[in-house]
Amino acid sequence: MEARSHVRSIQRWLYRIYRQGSSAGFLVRRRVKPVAWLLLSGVGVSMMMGANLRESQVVALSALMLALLVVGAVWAFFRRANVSGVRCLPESGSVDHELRYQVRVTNWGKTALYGISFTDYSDDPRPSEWEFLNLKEPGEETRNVFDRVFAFYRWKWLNDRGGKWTTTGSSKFISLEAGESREISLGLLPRRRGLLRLVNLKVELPDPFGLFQRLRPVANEAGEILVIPRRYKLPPFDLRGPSELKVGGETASTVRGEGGEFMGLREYRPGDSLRKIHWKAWARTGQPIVKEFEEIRFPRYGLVLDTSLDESGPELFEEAVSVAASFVSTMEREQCLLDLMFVREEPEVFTAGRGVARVDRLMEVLARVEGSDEKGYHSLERLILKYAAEMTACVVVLSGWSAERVEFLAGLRRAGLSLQVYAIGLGQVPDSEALGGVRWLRWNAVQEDLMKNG
Amino acid sequence: MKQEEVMFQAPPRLLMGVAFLFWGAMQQQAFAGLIAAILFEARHWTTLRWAFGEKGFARAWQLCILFLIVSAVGVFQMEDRDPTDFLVVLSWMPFILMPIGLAQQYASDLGVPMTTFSFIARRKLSLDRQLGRPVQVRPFQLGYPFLTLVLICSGIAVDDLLSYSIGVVLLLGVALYKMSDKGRRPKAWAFAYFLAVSLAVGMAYGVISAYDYVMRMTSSGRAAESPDLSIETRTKIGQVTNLQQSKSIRWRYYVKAGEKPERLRLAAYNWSLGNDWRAKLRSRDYIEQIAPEREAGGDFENLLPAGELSYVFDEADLDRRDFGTSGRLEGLLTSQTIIPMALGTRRIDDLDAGGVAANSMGTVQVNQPEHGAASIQLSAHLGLPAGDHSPSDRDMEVPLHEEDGIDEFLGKIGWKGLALGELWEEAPPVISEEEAKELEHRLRMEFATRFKYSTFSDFSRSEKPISDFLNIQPVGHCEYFASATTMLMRKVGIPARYCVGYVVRERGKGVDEWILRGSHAHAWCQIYVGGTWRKEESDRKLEKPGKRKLEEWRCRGGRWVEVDLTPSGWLDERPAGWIQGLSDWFQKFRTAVILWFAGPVVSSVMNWVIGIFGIGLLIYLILKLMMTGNRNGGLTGNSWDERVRAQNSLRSFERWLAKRVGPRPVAVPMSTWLRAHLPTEEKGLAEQYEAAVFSRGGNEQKLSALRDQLVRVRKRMGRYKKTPGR
Repeated sequence: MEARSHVRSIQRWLYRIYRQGSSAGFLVRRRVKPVAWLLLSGVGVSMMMGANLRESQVVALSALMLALLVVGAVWAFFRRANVSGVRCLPESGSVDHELRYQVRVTNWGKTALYGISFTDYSDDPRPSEWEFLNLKEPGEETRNVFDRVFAFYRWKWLNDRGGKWTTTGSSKFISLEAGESREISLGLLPRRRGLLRLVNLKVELPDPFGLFQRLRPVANEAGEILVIPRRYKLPPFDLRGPSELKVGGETASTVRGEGGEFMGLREYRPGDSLRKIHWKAWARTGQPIVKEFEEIRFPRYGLVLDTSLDESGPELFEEAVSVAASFVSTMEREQCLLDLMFVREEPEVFTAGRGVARVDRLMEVLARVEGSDEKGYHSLERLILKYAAEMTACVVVLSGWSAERVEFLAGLRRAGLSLQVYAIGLGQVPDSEALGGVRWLRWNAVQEDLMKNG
Repeated sequence: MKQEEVMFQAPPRLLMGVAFLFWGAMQQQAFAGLIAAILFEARHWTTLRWAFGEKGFARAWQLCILFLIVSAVGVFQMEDRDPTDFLVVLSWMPFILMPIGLAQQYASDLGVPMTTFSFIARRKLSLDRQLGRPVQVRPFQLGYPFLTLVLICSGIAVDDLLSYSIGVVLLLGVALYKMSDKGRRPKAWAFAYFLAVSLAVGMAYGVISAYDYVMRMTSSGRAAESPDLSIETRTKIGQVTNLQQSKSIRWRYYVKAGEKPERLRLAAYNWSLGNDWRAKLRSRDYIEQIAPEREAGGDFENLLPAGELSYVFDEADLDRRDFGTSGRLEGLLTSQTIIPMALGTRRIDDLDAGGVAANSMGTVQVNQPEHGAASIQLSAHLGLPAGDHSPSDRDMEVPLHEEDGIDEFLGKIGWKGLALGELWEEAPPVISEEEAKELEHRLRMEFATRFKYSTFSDFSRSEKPISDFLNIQPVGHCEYFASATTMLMRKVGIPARYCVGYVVRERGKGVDEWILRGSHAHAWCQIYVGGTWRKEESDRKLEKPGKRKLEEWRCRGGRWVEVDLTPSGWLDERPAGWIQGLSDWFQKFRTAVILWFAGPVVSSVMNWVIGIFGIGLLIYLILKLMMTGNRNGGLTGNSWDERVRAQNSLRSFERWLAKRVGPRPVAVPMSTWLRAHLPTEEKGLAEQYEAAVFSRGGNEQKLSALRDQLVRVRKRMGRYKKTPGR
């Protein structure tokens, strides 16, 4: 136990070192192009191989390469630009699907700008300390002790995952005369759900050799894109439950009343609605006749999302949101009503489905939902039980595993709810009796476990 | 292999080829450069490609490492290696690394994985894969890094700074221009490149000046410590306890006239420091000072040119043809090669080199030969002095710690040594030629009977190696016999020098051909007989009035004679094995090929061919650069759309029409654009174009007909004026 805490201390220290080191790396990488690295290496090699100036003339090449680097760096350093940009963004996007958008850029400077490009730089891709200390790269347990303690590969892996989004590259090189406006195309790849804010548009001013580039900010208004969560493919599932079917109707109907196909006419029975009386048939037969419709009923399901970060963390919570979004997306194709329930300061419920609201609404909600340090399981339980009588079954997605969650599930089971529970967890299935019936999804192998446990 | 974005593009056509030709020109290995250029450029002419993958590239890299090890071991095995040999290995690095370079050229893979160059990284990658971890293989195109290496290696072990600089500026410029393909601004690029070149000239000049200054300061400091020391010519004896005599052929000597020389001397030395023989600098304050125009560095003095490819030691030999003996020496040369010559050699012919210089000991050095091999005519007159200066008191010095041991040995054989320290107040006694011969005979008898030749000797830790050899352990190799002879001769008053070179013993298969192998390397002594001592004054003007005029004892009027007292039977004359036979054949073949290429006719033809080829390449490159230049204003980049336009069969017509009706917008098909802009009577052209491009079979004929049709359409549409500004 003590050894473990020592490792944690070392890793906290390493986190600071890696973080500072990578910030210097970012600063350099954005400004120095691969060709410059090639020339720099060439200078080093040529100086070593041509150190004997009596016997070789390599000094000419070393000097030329060094001079190219100096001229390139100085040239790039003195480039100036006064540019503004207005983004034309799509309203929403999806995780891991590239988005392209247009930016109208204007050169407000007095001189023309030649051979420039633009990039929307993403936010900091470096992981938080919590992520570094708690998340493990896939297969980290098989690495040697040194790699496990120093966790460099974990750092690298977390960095590669990036922040909320990454740019797909710079725009094409263009030239802008003084006062001229042009439209350029940029792309980004959302990595996480939520609201993306694009604020860091920069103009890249390279030197003529393409060795270095100066980055100047572009005056721009922040743009926002809502990114809906990643969705997994779900196996065929069957939610059975004792609840009654709910009578529904055509979602798009402009007429109030029951929907369904017309089946025929029959004699009036007491209790039939006056709206169903077929007046023409009554007039023809002299008997009260009513119209008979096919009865359309939809099941109503609950989808409970655990927003607590207790014994969990942002990454696990994100996976829980993705699993919930997968159910929302799949149930969109089913004929049902769906109640999305979670706690955000206080219990919330959003219903979508036939005749109520489009399922897209739930996706937007899931895109914006945030994790919370509050546990709130009691209030969530009360909320679910309030709707229990109307629900066919309930899907619960837990963002971790703890005693409070076990108790919460026990409460729901006692109420006789038909439950299908998914728990996102770190590592293998915990040896717990209370886990019975809960589908354990490893946070870094959710798709695989979903298909396996489905 | 999961391919990521490949770092760097491939160099354009011909650039690698031109770089290798440049390497060949700088290293005077035109043939090798040409072969490498063809190998690299043939990629563009053939469709041969291999999917090497990670394993294939790793194997190619391992082959490179093997070549490197073999080359390094080869250099270490050389008996007469000097630091410049390592530079020669470095200059051949593009060939040592050729397996990986060619693998990249002929690979269907886009780039070489970074892991190729690290065994540990490859192991880690393999382990990660076995454990199912996600792996990233970062490939990069090796073309430009390889080009940089070729440019670096072109400048190693060469002395033509101007040619190298011009070549580097051109080739690096083209490479950089192609690399900065995206967003290229030609005018700004040219200006910036001009700035960089100017800066580089200044930097290179500064570095070279600083280097010269430091070297001058260092060498003057060293000179202050021992003013007579010449580091260029020195040899050690007894440092290698067990002589490793290589059987490889160093030279071939063909007797043309006169007697076969018994020995060919490489160098002579006059200053003994125990196990170390050195050549003291000439007495520059006296009569042998070097004229400034003949200064060649160190103790060396450029020989007099006697024609374009001929050199003589003495002005008197400029027109002389009646030399007693002559022969032809054939072998491979490096940038600085000391050539073996018979004593009394006075004229050198057929040597195409930057310079030929000799020091006061008669050692001749060829500097910067034009070719890697030479067939040199050497003419000697045994009766006349050559490059060897007459002896001075320096050729009579015996190390103080050796004096007693030498006296002891002389006493044993019935001779008496002079007290050398007291000699120079008056002229030293003259030892006649007969007396010298008598001593030689006596020593020969003594060495033959009481001494034993052995390649194994261990006097390396001895403070008095010659005395110990003479009096305590009479076993040693030729260096000890030669050193002992030199000391003994000096002690009795005969000026003597220690010499190294080859004995001419092994007859070759050709007519009058003699083979000089590493195992023929030998050491002996040369003595000066028949001269008389006299005191000479410097003819240099005194720097300070009143300073005493410089004087020196010199022995004049005699001649140098070789004395080799190593007991017979030292030479290993066993016939060479078949492997050695193969090596001999290769050496001869290589020399012959280089000499064939160096021949006046072939050389001039090759120069013409390479010159024409080079000019053709240059024109092609310029045209190519002009044709692929940016015609698109601000919007640049080698996009798919631009490539499609460039390949379109109507590109010429499109340019013509675009000047009249405006450019074809991006993503608008050619036929749609033609229909929109051609007059009604010419609309059929669009259908004709579609039929030629998209229908099956006979497209070439249809395209040909279409082009004819275009000519007619252009004539008919000639009345359409160009739109201003287009």
